[in-house]
Amino acid sequence: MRRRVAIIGAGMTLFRRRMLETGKELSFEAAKMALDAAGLTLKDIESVVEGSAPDAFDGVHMKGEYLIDGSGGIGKPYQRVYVGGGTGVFTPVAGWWNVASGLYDTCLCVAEEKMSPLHPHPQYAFWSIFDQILERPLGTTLLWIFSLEMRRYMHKYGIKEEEIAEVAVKNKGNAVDHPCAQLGAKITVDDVMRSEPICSPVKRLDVSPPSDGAAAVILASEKVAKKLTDQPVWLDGVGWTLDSTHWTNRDLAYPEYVEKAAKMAYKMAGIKNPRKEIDIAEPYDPFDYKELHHLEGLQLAGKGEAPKLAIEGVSQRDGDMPVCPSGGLLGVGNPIAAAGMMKVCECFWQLRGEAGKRQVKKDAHTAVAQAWGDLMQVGTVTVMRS
Amino acid sequence: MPVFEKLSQSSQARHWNDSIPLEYHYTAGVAGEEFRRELRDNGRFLAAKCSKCKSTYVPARLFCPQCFIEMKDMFPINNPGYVQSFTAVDRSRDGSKAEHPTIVALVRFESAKGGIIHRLQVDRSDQVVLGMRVHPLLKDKFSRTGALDDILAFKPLE
Ligand SMILES: [Zn+2]
Repeated sequence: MRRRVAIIGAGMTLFRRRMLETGKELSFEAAKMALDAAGLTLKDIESVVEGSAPDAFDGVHMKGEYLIDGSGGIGKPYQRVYVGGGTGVFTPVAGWWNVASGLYDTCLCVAEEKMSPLHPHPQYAFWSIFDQILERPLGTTLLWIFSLEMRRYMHKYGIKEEEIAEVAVKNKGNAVDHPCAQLGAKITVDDVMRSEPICSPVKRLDVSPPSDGAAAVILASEKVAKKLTDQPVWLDGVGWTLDSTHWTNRDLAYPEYVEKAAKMAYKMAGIKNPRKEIDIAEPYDPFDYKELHHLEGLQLAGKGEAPKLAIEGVSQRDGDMPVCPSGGLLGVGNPIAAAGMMKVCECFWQLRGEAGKRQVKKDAHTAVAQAWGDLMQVGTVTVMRS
Repeated sequence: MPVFEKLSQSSQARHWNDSIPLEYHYTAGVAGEEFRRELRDNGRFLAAKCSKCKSTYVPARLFCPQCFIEMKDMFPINNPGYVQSFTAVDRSRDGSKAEHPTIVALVRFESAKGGIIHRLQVDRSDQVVLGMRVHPLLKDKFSRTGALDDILAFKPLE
């Protein structure tokens, strides 16, 4: 029998382009903050899950093992999980297995990324993910895929770059109120349009920055959660699916892997009409068009209809369904695995009414967080309820 | 034992050469920065003590991994170290034979957890006894940078 799982504490470090802290120190700071928030010490934790994306970022092979001191995992059942950019939301999914299965009553989930060690640019970590014979000789980068996707998306539904830019304006603006944010700013659609072209149609302000940071949550079984807090946030649905690395076969305008993951999580959470039942969404937004892509994959907008949400105000912080009220990756920053976990933390804080200046206007009870990554092939989703 | 390979020469199949050109700039971290400053400026090893379990760690760390609290009590180690174990390295990382074996030791300090791995300045490995007292041989103050090579080797106490 599956047990109900709650989130009872959350924590995160500053997100910055370059931090003095080592990966272990970043993990410790986030984990300690989450423990303190839950009113627990490490002794109360029965199992630990660490999420971190490629070893190539930090420049430490066996990064999960390396980070164990900072994640509080020494001498405990410990695992490191990894699905590229999807890792941050996958980490509490793996934590959920630990608790829902009945194996443990408490699980500390930590996600860390330190991208700054890698030179000349963190993008170099992706050098070897492409096909050695058919793609790498061209000098392929991930930006190529993003640009091809963005163009297909615009072409298929007749969407303008200006409409997509509204997402960057919204998220960077939201991040102004986030105390950990790296790139909060009040900008305009014009600023985005005039920013430096990187890989057309992708421009500088369409993109989130590389970052260092960590974030963490504490999961507990229903019995333990009810003892420790009056405000548990229930992790009622989890979902994840992967597609092939043959990205050349994929529908570039629609993320099917997100749809599959979302449907798995919604079914588990008993959600029948996502657009009506979900109050807050934190979809993965390393690029502004990706928020739109993912909202459609999450069934929160019809195909090609997501741009309207920001323009008509629905997805603004005071709207009917705020999207990335945290400020997202575009505003808070993108330390890959930690960025996904930051979204789970944001849902937790929003549902408990603890989001401070970022608190959404509407009375929110259900939130969804989602991340995406690997070779653009994974969707990871969690549904949370207060 | 014979080794059978399906392709005995890589030229039997068309292959492509490529490399993964990664370069790293690592930070020492919050505690690491303190450690290297103490080594550079005063030629000493910085330790950190946990206020809860009273464990002392060398090199200093930001937090006690057992108690999971920050360690604010940092101080230099004044005692000499001792050889916990050692080896004579005959082959380098690429498998080539070294002209003279390098003697390498794990050096620990009384009542502290952790230690420092470094070369031992002795002529032959039969001069090494486990538990023997050693102290670091450092570069002069003005050429130290707070890096591992500030330590030239550990040297037995007379
Ligand atoms: Zn301790």
